[in-house]
Amino acid sequence: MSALDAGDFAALWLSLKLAGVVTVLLLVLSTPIAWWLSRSRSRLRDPIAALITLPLILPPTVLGFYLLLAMGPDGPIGKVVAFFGLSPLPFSFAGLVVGSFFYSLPFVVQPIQNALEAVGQRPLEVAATLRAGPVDRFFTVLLPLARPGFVTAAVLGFAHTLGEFGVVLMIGGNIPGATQVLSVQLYDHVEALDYARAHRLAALMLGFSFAMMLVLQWLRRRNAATTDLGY
Amino acid sequence: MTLSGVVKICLLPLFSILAATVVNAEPLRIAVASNFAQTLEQLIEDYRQHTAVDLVLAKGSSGKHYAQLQRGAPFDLFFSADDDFPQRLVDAGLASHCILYAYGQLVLWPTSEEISDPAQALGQFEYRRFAIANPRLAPYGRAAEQVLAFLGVAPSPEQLVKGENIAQAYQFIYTGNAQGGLVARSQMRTEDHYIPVPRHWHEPIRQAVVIMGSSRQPQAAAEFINYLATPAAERIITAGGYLIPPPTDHCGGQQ
Repeated sequence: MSALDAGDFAALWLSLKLAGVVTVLLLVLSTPIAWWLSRSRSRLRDPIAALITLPLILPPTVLGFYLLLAMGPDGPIGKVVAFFGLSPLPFSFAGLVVGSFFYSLPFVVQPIQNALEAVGQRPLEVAATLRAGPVDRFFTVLLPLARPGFVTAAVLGFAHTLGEFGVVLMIGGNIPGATQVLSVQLYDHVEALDYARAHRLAALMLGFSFAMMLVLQWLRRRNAATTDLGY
Repeated sequence: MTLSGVVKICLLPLFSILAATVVNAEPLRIAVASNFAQTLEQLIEDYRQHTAVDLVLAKGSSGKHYAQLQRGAPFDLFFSADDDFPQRLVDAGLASHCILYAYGQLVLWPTSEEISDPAQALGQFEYRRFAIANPRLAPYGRAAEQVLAFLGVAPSPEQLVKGENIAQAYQFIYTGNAQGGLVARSQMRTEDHYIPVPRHWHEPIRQAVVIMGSSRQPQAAAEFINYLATPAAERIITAGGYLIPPPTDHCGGQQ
């Protein structure tokens, strides 16, 4: 396989950067959401859970089109962004981060939520009787017990963002170095009938995705062996 | 299963065969570039007043159609957004009768009422984001790039946002995310303010049609192509925002 050209490398790097940034953001923000979903008895719980799950069902181009409208100068997100004096989101890296965040949200919230539900209240109550504070309980009891869920969430969030296409296509504008990610570059090659370059990128993505899923399986097996959730 | 259920299932194929013979001909299947789909629908509506032929459309980008037609997609006619894909199909022996059916027209949109000269608006280039179709993929994008080069305008990479096709370039402007762009005249609604870009600022956007070699009704396909040259058809094409190619121009360029 011959080398990728500079444009392909830029796209690859941009995709990795996007997936990395989005994964970190998702893990940080999904944890409280998943916690709330796993514990709340509020009447809002189900509608909010449904809302978060929507990107699983909606065609990405539909999601992208609504994001384009919402981020536009007359849209709700666009107005908030303008209020804070920030530059508009569409056609920028920041815009892709926001779009990818919503797009990958269910893939991160659900594994974490499942893991938190599996841990249940009891270990936390026991820890509380041993005078562990809330922060202590979170970091030394909940997090280690729910670790497999977090690992799955991180890998799925990263992989899903890496392969994202429809949303980026709709809000990206194909700017090299800013919004021209791997999947869009690949699509361009295919559409321009440059099948050789398309093949190289596709093979790379295929190999990478397979490796990532393999690591996920391996981590799951290891976690199942080392963490004792069988109480 | 009841007896009547069995009878129904056995009779079903028979009924469908009967139904097919009553309708007699299969429809003409047409692969059409998205930008021309609306005009083609109007053409078909007019055409069907004179003939009994059924026509069904598949809309999509010319590149995708081309990739599928190369691999035997079952279409009788291919209305491309350029003449390159049709010519390639002819060269590969997969199609015949490459004919130009329209010249695409570029417009600068939106424009304020007081501006009448596109060179002035493009020369100042006060756009934070300017939308065109991707020149690598779309003929309208290539023409837009030629217009900018002709005027010596060099937007920064961040200023120039590229839609996958001309519909997306339109969408970027429509949603207010780009302040202007070069899009197709066929996309403009009556209330839009736009200025047509002079034709000599770019190579003509030659939109060509071919009859696929795999067609089982090349005669009906040829008749529809002949219809395109009638005054009634040319009126519809012109009203759709296209120009009628001069007879001196041919598929594959001036000869």
